[in-house]
Amino acid sequence: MDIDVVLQSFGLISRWQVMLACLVGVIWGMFVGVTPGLTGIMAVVIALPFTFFFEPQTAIALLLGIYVTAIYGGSVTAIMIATPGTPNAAATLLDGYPMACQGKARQALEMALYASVTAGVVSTVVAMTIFPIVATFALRFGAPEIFALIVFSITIIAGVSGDSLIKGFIAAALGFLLATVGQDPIHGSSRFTFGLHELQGGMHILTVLVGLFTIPEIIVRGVEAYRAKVKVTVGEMGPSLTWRQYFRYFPTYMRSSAAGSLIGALPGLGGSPAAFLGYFIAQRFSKHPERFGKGELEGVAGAESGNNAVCGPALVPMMSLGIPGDTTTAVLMGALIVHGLSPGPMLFTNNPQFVYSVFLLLFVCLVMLLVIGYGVVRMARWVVEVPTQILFPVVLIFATFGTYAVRGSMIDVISMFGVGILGFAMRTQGIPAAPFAIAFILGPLFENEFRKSLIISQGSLEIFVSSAISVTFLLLAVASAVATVYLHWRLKGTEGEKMMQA
Amino acid sequence: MLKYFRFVTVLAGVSLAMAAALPADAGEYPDRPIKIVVPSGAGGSTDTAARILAVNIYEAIGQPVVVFNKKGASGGIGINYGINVKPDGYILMEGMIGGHVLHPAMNKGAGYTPKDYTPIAMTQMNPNVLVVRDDSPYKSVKDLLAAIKKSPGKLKFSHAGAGSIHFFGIHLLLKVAGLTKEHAIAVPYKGGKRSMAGLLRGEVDFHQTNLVSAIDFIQAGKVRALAVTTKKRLKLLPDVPTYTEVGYPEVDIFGWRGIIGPKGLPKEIVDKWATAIQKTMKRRGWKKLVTRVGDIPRYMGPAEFTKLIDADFKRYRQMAKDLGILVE
Repeated sequence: MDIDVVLQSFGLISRWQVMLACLVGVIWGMFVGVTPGLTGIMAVVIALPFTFFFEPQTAIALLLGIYVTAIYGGSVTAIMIATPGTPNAAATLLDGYPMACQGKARQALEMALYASVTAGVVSTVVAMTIFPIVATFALRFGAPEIFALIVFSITIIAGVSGDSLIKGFIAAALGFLLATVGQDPIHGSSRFTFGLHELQGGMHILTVLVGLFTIPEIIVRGVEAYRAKVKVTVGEMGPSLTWRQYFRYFPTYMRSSAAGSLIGALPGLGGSPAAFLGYFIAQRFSKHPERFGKGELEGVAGAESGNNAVCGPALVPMMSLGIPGDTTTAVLMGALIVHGLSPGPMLFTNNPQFVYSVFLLLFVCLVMLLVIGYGVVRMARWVVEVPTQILFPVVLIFATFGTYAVRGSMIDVISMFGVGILGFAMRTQGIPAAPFAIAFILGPLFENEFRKSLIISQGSLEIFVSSAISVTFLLLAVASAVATVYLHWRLKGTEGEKMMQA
Repeated sequence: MLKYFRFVTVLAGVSLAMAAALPADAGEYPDRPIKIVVPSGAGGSTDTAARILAVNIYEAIGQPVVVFNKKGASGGIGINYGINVKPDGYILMEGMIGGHVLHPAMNKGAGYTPKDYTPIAMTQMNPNVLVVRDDSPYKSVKDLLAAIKKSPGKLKFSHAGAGSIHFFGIHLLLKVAGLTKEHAIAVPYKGGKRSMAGLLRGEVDFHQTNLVSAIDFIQAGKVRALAVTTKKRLKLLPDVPTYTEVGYPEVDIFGWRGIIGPKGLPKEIVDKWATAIQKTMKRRGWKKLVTRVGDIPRYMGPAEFTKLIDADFKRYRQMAKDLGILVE
């Protein structure tokens, strides 16, 4: 990293227009993040045409502000009303929502915010200092390497299965199955679309997440409120997060940021797998893995570190190779191209100041996120004071509107309710929802990379063990699977002993 | 506060829905905003083309133009939506060769053919270029084809999905060179950019893509261009021969974008749009943005555009049949 160039890039961004664009982006991103159905990608797309008329730095400042904030914003609704505002927030919901139900919403929200900002800063520093290394790193990951990484990530399923591995696998199998709906990724033929053209694009992830997490919650809480016949509210936000609590999880932020950064630097994976991987790593290293999923602060820390760590590194393959890391960076790239800053191998050579100014802007956005986010946390207390009888019908309306808004398709709304009924049935049987969600997210990647690898190797399975990277991840996957089974066996053992003693 | 935010959103949503439901009888076309469906993802080149036109055409058409994306199924989802709307000119599509021609040409189940839509005008085009990695032993189209012929089923090429221009371009070359689809292995990627990454990574041996996606890598010396699909050499790549020069003039595939309406769109509306597009294309703002994204401005009116689409569809349907890649 050339310090002179970095100093020059300071000059590029220290203008009031750029700062204002950042602020507008952060506020707009926050609004979109907390509104179910409006995703970060939609927010940047709406802002994109405006940026045609801006200076490049101002344009990118606006879009970066939205990008960074929407990832955090989604967690607010996930924690408060069990509705992931964006797909990235699904992993945050697993522990954040139980915390809110226990009257610890404030801690969960603040942890999500601080973990997001910490991970954002850490990952951006990494991306900035070792830009050229990260740039070539992305190219080292071909289909078999990504496949091995996905296999490793799939072992997360065991970690979020709760008490019964079998039930977790049932949920995962259902998730994988649902993910096959749509166009075959290789041959383009239709699968399980029942002749409906709208289903050719497959089920939208937000449709599935809202159906899986929000609808069963609405049913359960509705029944509770009906039976209680009194005003039911959570009523309290709970205490604020202490500095000690924040610093206690410092290693968690680092580990989960590392996982998120890895996913971010690889094209095509995006924030949702990163959040789950961050969550999983946090659980693996935790002293109390059994508390995850029941309202563990560290779970929120892991998930939010994971998804926000994607931002910085995702910009690297985009700017250095012209390959966007996810759909939102694809729009950022579109904006750069319109401004004549064609991302690719020449951008860093021709315009290193610009590349560094983008990273510096990311820091600015993160600081603004901290401030605006803190305001939103304070406002969130309005939600806990609303009685369940009013809150959850409103949530239902938003879930329905939001699902429709994503693609403007009624099929999505119908599917959402279908998945909702399935989710409720699973819940009554004690089948966990999280493995379903992870399988749904990773399923298509798993299939696609597996089949692509075999096309490249012309059917030989050797391709999966022919590079050090894929072998490493496959071994990690085996180790992780063995560890999980051992952990379950040990837990079952101690429970058995307790029962014997009683 | 959050609740109020949401309340406002719902209110806005409801009023918008009500506004959209109002009958469109009053006044002359257009008397309310027009929507353009982009059948691919946000941020892609088709999307950018639509948005550049939308921000520039306001003066010429007299109403705001709003762009929205409906992606999936190689463009099939958005196009199936766009062809089935009321032909009143308030919902149009951003046309692209992949979704509008190539996808239905190789997929009988696509749900539409060019007969089901009304081409209005082409706005821009983008030539294609055949590339190999810089360290590749193939220095020319002849070298590459000879190697493919010598060991069939060995060399691989990357493409952005069956039905993409990357996929068809190479198959067109194989066909005119007298080879079959079994001669080279098609490796699918999600999108053109990632199929370029597949080439850089060495997973495949060759790749044909639009000039915009390749130019940076060519100039950076990471890939070598073997041929371009234009009739004349490109100013940007003066040393790269055209397919015509190397003996395959039939490989003239190029990407195009334009505006397309649903079937049965009244002639007045088609003409109004064609004129508005022609006027907009003269604007400096439009030209500047389009050339920056690497496209070549190129106007084609309704009649000519329809002729091109019909001819291309016939040709690629036949090609899909011949090569055995037609999905029934």
